[in-house]
Amino acid sequence: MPSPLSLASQEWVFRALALGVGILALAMLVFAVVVIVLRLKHARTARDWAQREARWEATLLAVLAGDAAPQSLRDDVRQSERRDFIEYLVRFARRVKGREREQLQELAAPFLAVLEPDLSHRRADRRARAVQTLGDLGFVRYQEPVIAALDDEAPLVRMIAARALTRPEHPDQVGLVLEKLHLFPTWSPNFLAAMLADAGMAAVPALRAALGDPAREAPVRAIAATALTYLGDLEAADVAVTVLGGRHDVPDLLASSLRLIAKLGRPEHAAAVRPLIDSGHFAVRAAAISALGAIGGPDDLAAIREGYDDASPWVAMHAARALVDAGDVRSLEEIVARRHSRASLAIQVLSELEEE
Amino acid sequence: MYELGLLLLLVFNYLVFFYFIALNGVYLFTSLIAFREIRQYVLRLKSLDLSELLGSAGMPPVTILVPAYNEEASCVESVRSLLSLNYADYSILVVNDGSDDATLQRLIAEFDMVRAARLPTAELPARAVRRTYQSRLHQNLWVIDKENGGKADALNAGLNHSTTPLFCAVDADSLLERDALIRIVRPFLEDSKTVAAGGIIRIANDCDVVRGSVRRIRMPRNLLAQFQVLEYLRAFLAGRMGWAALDATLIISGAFGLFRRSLVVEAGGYASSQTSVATVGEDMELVVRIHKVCREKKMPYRIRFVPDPVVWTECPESFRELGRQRDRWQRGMAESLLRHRDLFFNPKYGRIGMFAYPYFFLLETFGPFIELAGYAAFITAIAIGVASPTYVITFFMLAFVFGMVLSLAAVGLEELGFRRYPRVGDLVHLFGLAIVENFGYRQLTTVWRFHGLVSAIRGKQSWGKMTRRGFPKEA
Repeated sequence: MPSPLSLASQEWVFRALALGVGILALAMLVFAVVVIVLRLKHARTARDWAQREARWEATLLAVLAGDAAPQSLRDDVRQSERRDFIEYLVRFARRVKGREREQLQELAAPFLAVLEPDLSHRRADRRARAVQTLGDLGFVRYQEPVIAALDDEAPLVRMIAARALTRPEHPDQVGLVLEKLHLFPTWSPNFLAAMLADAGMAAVPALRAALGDPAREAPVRAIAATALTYLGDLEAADVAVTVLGGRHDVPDLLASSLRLIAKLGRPEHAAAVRPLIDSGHFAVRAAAISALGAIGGPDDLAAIREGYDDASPWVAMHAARALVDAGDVRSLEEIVARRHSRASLAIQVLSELEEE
Repeated sequence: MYELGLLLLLVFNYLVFFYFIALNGVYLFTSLIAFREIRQYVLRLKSLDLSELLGSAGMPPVTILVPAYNEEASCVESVRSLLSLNYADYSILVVNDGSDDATLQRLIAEFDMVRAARLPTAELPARAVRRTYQSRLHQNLWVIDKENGGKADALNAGLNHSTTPLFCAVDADSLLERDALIRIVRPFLEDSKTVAAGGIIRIANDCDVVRGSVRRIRMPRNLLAQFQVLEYLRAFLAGRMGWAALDATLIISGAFGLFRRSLVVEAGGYASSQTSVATVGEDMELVVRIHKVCREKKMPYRIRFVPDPVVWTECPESFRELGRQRDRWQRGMAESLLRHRDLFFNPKYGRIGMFAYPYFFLLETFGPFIELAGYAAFITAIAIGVASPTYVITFFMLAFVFGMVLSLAAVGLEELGFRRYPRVGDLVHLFGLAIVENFGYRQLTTVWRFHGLVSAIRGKQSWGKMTRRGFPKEA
């Protein structure tokens, strides 16, 4: 009887294994060649790029300094180098503002058309790059496609478009971005707020309108409140107070409005804040206590002290800092003296005060 | 009886063959997926200027937790690297886990630390905190000095004292690149479902380090360290990148990971002797538990891998220390997976339960046993004359060439995206290592991993000691 293992020494098994070895050896060779080709390609690209940069840099600096005519630099750009030249200008554009940025936009203007086909390219990264570059260097001329990109199917392209539309140079577009904010459901609210705030004070009316509009989605209003806080818009506190009187089932909106009031509110806003220190959501209680610490009066100290004993350590932390803001350092010293179970928090906040 | 023995040998030979095909098939599959992902990632990076998009405002505050046990040789350099990060809002919490050496004293002296109070904001069980210190030179640098309880316990103590929505766990013997935090935080900004993200770990042996920053990247001189360079490229660029693309990440290295703090606290923190049963694989155990918590709560979530935030680490250069490390890694994986065996082919846990867990459990955890037994079976089969030596040699050639293909694919992924080893000589060196590692090194790691598996089954808990050289300085 033949051994069962003789199967393993049959011709077809050996042939299959040998074929496997051959295929894999070929794959190995292909990978090795790919790696070498990639290395050579990257080395060549880097060398070419360095040469081009060296060629353009001196003329560009002379143009920016007013010592050379823009055309002298444009004449130095070959037909095949138009994309690279735009890329080069984009790198500079990110580092400069004002007149210098305008000069770069003027320099780029004759070449930007080369990117137009990319706006409808099948690859999202190509569309994103085109929107970013045209937004940076040719916004006036390419405003429409940049706005249209807010509705692109790719989230990356939508975000690039939103970023391009919230620049300080054209704050009037913030309203448009606010309208489309629901298209960015996964992005961090703080990030979106910072992006909107980048547009500067001219964006304030649109942001205030969004915050005060009960018909808007609560997350959009919360983002608007945070953006207004970043911008330090004092009048927004009045709008935030109206939010506190509205729906109480959206903790994020309430908390961001309370944070706005804590930073920018006035004593007359305290009455609207007080009911929220008993909120069922810890983030709202914490923000309400901070707000009272900032704008409340002596009558609010007892409620803030109570907050120190809240079940949530976060509320206690806000209460400790609110006591400092309200000028009631003595309460914290007493907490330390009677060895309260959270005495270490009072010590921490008092030491922060000393550092200041 | 003899016939039965032969039959068993035959069945086992086929089992080894199918194990080999399945394991390498998965490696190849994840490598190919990683190729697509890295290509897209690079294009995305090119189309989206990071510093432009991520201004200082809107970046979530991060606490960096650095558990340190007897790290006097490298803790100062590590903290320096953390202090020089390019990130707007972060604090560093070094948790001295009852070190017997001068770790605490070195930190106090170097950064002018003084006693300061810091409030716990969570109550994860952890060994007692003795003192907390704050630096007078850097307001965002804190040290928590606590009783020894192990790495997981130190991380839990740090979690109790962190106040930011995100925390980053970093090993005390590691160096973070300046942009590492800004890069790893990106998935959290882009997708609020992100609950954890891991970065890549690279080998710093023989690189030049200046004030906590890797300035000149070089291949290590030590051969064992060189093998590990290649291994890390395979593990991170081909393995973790591929698994993350499949939304099936089961491990984020303890040396560098960013997590949503509230979720980790809700999940009970890291597994330590104080919380449940300690494991030396607390990093993998946490990720597995995060999957379970999120799936059981039907919470939408994502765990990501980002290939370009880099943490540099010193790897073992002696057989003894490398063996201990591999033993520990295997033990950690086995403990984590055995603890959560209810995931095994459980459709409730989606692709984690149906694909990732069974793969790691069957092929990675028990792989070393099958491999070693396979060597023994082949030798037996040849010795008793029932297997053709030609067949066996061809099979080993297949294994050898498959291994090389996977290694070259990993080098290709590195070349495609990152090119951290700029010298052509380094590239040739990596090619050479892909050949040489098949003769001895791979078999040795299998033995160490097998030992780790046995230790896990026997319930061994010690970490083993690693001697640190400290990071090399610029000449």
